[in-house]
Amino acid sequence: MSRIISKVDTESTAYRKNFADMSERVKTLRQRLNQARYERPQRDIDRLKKSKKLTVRERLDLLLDPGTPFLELSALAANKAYGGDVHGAGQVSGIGIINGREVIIHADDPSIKGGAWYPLSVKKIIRTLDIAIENRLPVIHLCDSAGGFLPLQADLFPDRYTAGRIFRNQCTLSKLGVPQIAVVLGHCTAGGAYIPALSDYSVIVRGNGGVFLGGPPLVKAATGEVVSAEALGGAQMHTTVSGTCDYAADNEPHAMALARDILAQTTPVLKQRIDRIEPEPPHYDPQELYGIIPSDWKIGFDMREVIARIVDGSHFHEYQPDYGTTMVCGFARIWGCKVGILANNGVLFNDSSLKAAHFMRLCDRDRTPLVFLQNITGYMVGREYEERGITKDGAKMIMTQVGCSVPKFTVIVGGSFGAGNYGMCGRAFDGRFLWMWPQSQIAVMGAEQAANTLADVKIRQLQREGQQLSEEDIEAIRQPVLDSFQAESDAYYSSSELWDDGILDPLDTRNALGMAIIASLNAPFGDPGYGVLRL
Amino acid sequence: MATFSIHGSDEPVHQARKHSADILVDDKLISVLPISLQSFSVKQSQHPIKIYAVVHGDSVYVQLHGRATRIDRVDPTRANAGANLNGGGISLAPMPGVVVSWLALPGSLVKTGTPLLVIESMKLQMTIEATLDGMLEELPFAEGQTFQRGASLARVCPDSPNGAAV
Repeated sequence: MSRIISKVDTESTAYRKNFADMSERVKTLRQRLNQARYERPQRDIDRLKKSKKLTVRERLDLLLDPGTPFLELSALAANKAYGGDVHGAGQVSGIGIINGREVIIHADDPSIKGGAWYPLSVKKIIRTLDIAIENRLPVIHLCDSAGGFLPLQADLFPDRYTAGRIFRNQCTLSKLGVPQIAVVLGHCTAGGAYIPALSDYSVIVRGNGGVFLGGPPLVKAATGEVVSAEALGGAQMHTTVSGTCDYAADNEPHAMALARDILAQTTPVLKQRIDRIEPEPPHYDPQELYGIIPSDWKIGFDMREVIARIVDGSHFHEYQPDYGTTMVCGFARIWGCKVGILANNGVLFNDSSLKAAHFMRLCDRDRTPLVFLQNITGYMVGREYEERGITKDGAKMIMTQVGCSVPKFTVIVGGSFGAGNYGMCGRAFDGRFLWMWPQSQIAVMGAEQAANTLADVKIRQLQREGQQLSEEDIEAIRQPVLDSFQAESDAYYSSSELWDDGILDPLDTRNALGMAIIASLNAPFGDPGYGVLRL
Repeated sequence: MATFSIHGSDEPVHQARKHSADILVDDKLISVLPISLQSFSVKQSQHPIKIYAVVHGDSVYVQLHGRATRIDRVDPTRANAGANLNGGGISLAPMPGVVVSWLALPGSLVKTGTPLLVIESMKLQMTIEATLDGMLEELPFAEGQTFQRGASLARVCPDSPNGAAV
């Protein structure tokens, strides 16, 4: 492997402007993360204190090994939904370390709407458990939820990927032999009651913890029976009479200590073996990423400069350096793990698509995980390229990518448009993790293109009816499309809807990928096998 | 085998045995015994010499008999590659598109990496740079003109050996 030779001029005006702009974006990101994590109305904090509860962040501090990283996922979920104050969709999700082992956390945040589940909360919990299934990560559930948010029940209850899926995923995890520990810190009512019941182990806090299919008000309405929450489903009852919970804890710190000790009794899995050596930091300063990424996503840049600031020692063995040059493929190491990197240096042509497909098969055969760095406006269009079979070559790339059984990881560094998103392992393609950078964009096409296309359609439709559109009429069609596309292409919108696992400060990309790659090795890789390529 | 560059000359070095620090240079065995993280006892024939070594980036600074010498690791894939392909100063269009703007005027002197023009294709703007030092002879496409993939977008005439453009 050779070290990438950087051509970045850190003195240039473009670099300085980019650097200032990205610094500003990262500052905004940090503020929004801080708000989502910590800023709560005083009355909500007081209410927790009064009921002798800790905040969800204090709970994590007690649960996880001190000084170890916590890779939080989808921290900005629901940031553009429900009026913007259901921070993180009322859930905390992330990969942390307990007794030196990776676990994934699903925690209700009782300081937000009493921990109620909104539709996006359910989506986030399902995603958390999907990650647990795909990477065989033990799950710690910190249960403290008021239950489903009833006014939106139609969006969170009945469908395939709504609340029932949480419990289906719990059963799947158990079948795969992945341990789950539930800690009941508040009331688990109705569906929520199944979380501890479907976990392998459960801890319940005396006084605050409660598990019941119907809470006291529902019981009274249904049968007229008057019963206290503690008698109906408290710690004493469940650990001595019903056996629904296994351990009674005297307080929250006691519950976290019990959860840690329970995990220590389960047998750790052996990680999948891959080519892995001692890690080495990048030779080039990752901070320079701020100056490399243009403020305007329409301006291209050399993705090798990004690779040079993410991988070990900035070493990169480039595959087919002179063929299909809009697709940069090559081998590198992240945290010592050998990976195959696919990165966009322009639109995908026939040759770049074939190169990508061939490279992915090489990596898959050698059991080398794949990292996709997206900055893709799509596959090339036009008569010449259709005649050369751009669609079937793109299909080869997609078919091969889906066939790969090694873990895949995606970072949307710039644009992610149209079928380019598919070929480069977008959300629908079962990558283990997907992150976005703060200025990145995602949509079926660019806002301008969409607005022009829709205006064109309308003009032709009216022409057939013998009508003419004035400039103002055209603008009146264009502008709303432009506005809605721009709003919905934004990384924050994507994160709000859980189209990704979070927005990353470019500086954190290496560590996020490193932690994710090593976590992914808990699951054995499947056997390679591919669909039929249209040759 | 690894190749190291010392005072401008390349020295191939072989590891003598697996799991040992001993090395072979010009078929001569040099036994190396680590003393600490940064010091070694090196012995060729009979006499052991103590040396200190500090790694900095790709270079190792070795202190021997009171003098420091810099040793660089030579990247074999780069060292053995031929001269850079610079297309003889012609920049070809990586994709079909349209010229957005000229950043340099024909007739001006440019250096490798000087931005020459900006093109746009499939929503993406790219800057085309000079691939060698010399005089910008021609920008065949005017601003706003379209071109096909592989078209020549700029031609730079290389500097003559005495440094002036020919």
